[in-house]
Amino acid sequence: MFLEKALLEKAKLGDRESLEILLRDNYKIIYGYLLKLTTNEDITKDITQEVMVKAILNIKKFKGDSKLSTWLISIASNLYKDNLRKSNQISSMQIEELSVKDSQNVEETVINKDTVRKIEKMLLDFPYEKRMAFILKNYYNYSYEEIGTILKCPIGTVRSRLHYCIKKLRSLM
Amino acid sequence: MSYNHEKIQEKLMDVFYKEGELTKELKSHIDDCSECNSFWRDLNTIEENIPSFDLNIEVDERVIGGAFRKVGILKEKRKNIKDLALFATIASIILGCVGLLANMGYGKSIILVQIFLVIFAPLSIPFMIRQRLVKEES
Repeated sequence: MFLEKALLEKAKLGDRESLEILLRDNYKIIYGYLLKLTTNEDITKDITQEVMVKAILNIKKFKGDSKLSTWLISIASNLYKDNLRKSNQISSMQIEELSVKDSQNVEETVINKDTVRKIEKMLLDFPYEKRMAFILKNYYNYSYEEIGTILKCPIGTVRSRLHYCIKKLRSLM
Repeated sequence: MSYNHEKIQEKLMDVFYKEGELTKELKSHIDDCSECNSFWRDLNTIEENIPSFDLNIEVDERVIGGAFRKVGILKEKRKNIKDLALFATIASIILGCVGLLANMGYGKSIILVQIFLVIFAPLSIPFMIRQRLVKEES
């Protein structure tokens, strides 16, 4: 955290190397988040690059109230929404190409994979705002408040979106 | 599902996500209500079965490098637009001044100045080039 602050200060003063380190450190978070949203590697790479472009251009505007990764995820969410509005290509998912967590024994693996695939399929069918809230909470463990800040919506909305996702996922059980 | 269950389940969700506390009231409700009890258990099942998307992500230097290149191009474009705007403003001011002077009856003088500039300005180019070369050498 201290190192991040020091690098941020340097980056804000125009030090490219510091900015590169910060972007490299956060690459996996942004890419992973977008991959979960789009499930398409090409689109994910494109949006990740756009996120970095925005971050480089606006790094001086970043106040440091939150972690840099939170700010980058917020940019990624907005760009994903823009991208979705521009084209509906994102819905052409590549579910089969994504790997699924392996379990200890074979029998469990088969059952687990089936449930996981069902959940995965349903996750992708959620409206994007709800999916974003669910991913941010369940994969990144952001608080309701942080999710509200990232998605620019009140905490009540975050809660209802999460509850909606859980109710839908429960129907699979 | 009744409004009450809906509210209780939202509270259970808060507890599950560590955004709220498991109060005595909630606890006794889980024990008594099968619907909410099943909701509580399902929360754990969902967490256990959440798909782990491929997380063997390698940092792609091309993406980062590409971002810096794109920013360079964008900055260049912005600079060009700024320069163009500045040029247009200065040109408009000069043209406006010339027009005003012509309107005030200095048309003949303006034409003379223009002729002078057209004839003599090109003569200054060798000197300007020489000056620049001297500057570059030093």
